[in-house]
Amino acid sequence: MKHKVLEYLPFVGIVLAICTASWVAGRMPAEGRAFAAGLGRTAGPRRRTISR
Amino acid sequence: MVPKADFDSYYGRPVLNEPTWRAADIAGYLFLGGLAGASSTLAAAAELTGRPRLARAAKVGALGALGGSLYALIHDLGRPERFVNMLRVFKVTSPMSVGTWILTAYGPHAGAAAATGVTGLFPGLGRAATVGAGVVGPAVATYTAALICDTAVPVWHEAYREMPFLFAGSAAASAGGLGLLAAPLSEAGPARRAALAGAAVEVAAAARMERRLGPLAEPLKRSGLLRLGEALSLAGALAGATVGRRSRVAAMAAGAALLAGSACTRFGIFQAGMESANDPKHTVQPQRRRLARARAERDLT
Amino acid sequence: MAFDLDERLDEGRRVGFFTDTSICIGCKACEVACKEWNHVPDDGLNFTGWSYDNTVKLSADTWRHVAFVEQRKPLGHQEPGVGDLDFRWLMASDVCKHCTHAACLDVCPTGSLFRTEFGTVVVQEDVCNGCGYCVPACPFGVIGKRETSGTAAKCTMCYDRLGAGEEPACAKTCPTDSIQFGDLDELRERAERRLEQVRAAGAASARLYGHDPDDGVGGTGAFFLLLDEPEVYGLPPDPVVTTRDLPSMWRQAGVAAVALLAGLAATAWRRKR
Repeated sequence: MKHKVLEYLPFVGIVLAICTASWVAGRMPAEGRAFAAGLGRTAGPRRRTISR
Repeated sequence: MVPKADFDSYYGRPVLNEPTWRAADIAGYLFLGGLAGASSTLAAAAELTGRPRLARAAKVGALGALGGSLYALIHDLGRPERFVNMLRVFKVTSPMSVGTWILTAYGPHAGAAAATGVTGLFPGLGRAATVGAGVVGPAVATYTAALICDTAVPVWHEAYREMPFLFAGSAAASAGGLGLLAAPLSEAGPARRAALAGAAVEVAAAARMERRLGPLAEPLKRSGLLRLGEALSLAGALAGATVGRRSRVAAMAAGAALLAGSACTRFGIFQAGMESANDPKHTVQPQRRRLARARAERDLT
Repeated sequence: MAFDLDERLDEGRRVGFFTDTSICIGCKACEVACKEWNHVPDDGLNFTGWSYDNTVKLSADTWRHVAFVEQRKPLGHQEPGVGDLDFRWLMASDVCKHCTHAACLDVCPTGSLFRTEFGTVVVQEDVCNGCGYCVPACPFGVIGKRETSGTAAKCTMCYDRLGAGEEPACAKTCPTDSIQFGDLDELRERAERRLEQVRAAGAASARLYGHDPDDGVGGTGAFFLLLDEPEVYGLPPDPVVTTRDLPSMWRQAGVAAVALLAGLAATAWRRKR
């Protein structure tokens, strides 16, 4: 019985991983893409400036 | 020991050898392949109609489901290191061979679509890959019906007319479910409609299959997994189309129900096939009826 | 190709088995000879209680299987010298049928299964990746997946011995010539003559099984003279190669795929405002 449950773990894990990844992808800003726009917004000129 | 039946058998032993496929791998693949293929098509439709977040969620979901499919397929091989041997030949008589080549064509498109969608790099290439994956996707989702029907397993083989439609409906319902789960309400319209239409086709195809197969439909009718799958799919689709329009939480719950429903349907079909292969009556009786029919036709002419 | 059901193998060069079950004595010498010659691993010693059959079925590790059936029926004009006896003991040595239209061969995605120059069907163990598709494809329940190697295995009709001009080990060892090996067309003629003989002796239920080139698998390379319905011996009464319906399956799958494409496109028809 325990062995049988273990057999299904990879499948369940894969489905949960798909749902999570897809959910995260759906929450990213509409126009934004992680690199192109996402970085542009958070890393404005001020963040890029190295200040001492 | 063996109950007296209205047919002969060898000590009640099955005529066929039981498929060696493991449910978690192959039934799991039937689900994941459908999810991947239909999600790619949904992603292309969403992208071309200005729904970038639904498109991106579906592309990422498709790539994940493709990865899971490949894991399941290779894990089920007796010699996993030899999976490339399937690229030695192309055989139209073998749905597994055709499917291998469909996946080979589909994989790079789905991968490029997801990668460009998430990073925002190479938008032109991304658009082309998205459309390419969307066009090949339905083949990924439905060839699996030919895969299991092209066997001597009585329930699978005899159900070959409805199986592709059942799988197409189930795939659309699961892709719609993933869209409901992941996309914002403002963009989830296509996912809601895909879920509704998919669940309806899935249930209709299953009903037609059970009616047409007659006595052979017994393992399908007895299957709790199939009933549960239908209930989850219909409930998820209806909830998605009603409360799922206004509440994000309700939409997510509906999406989860649709995904679970599609998975239950695939595992139910798989299980019913295994049961029919293991019962000599399902092999012998339809063949006896076929012989009797042929004899009657001969006598008439 | 399985789609061409009018295809005939070159029958002149095709070899096969004719297993005449009316003279099988159930000694299982064929099972032993096959195991020894082909190095087929053991698959357990179990007691079934099914007459003398503890072998149970054909599988990756059983390439000959002798079936035993005890029936309350008289066997032809039987004169046992103990008065009326309504008992017969059927014995039959089952084997891979080496079908004309072989489903295992059709569905194999690696090309591991192939048709030899003798018209037989053989697995190349070094090519097989153990996908297991051939197992549910076989309408006779012959081929199996071997646990130890992870690859498919079944009767080769002793491919190595055929190449050296020898007959297969089971036929060679059969003490009553119940298993006969030879050119298929000659075996078919011999079987027709034998059937007449057995029927004349009062076994009205005798029939040939697998000899007809017009049956669902195009006739088998290994065919049988049976004394009862095929299912009594665990054989399917009307086997059909599954790929016969594959063109229809592809058509249905194609229509479903186009419908899925069109349906999903339609869900997004109205552009988002």
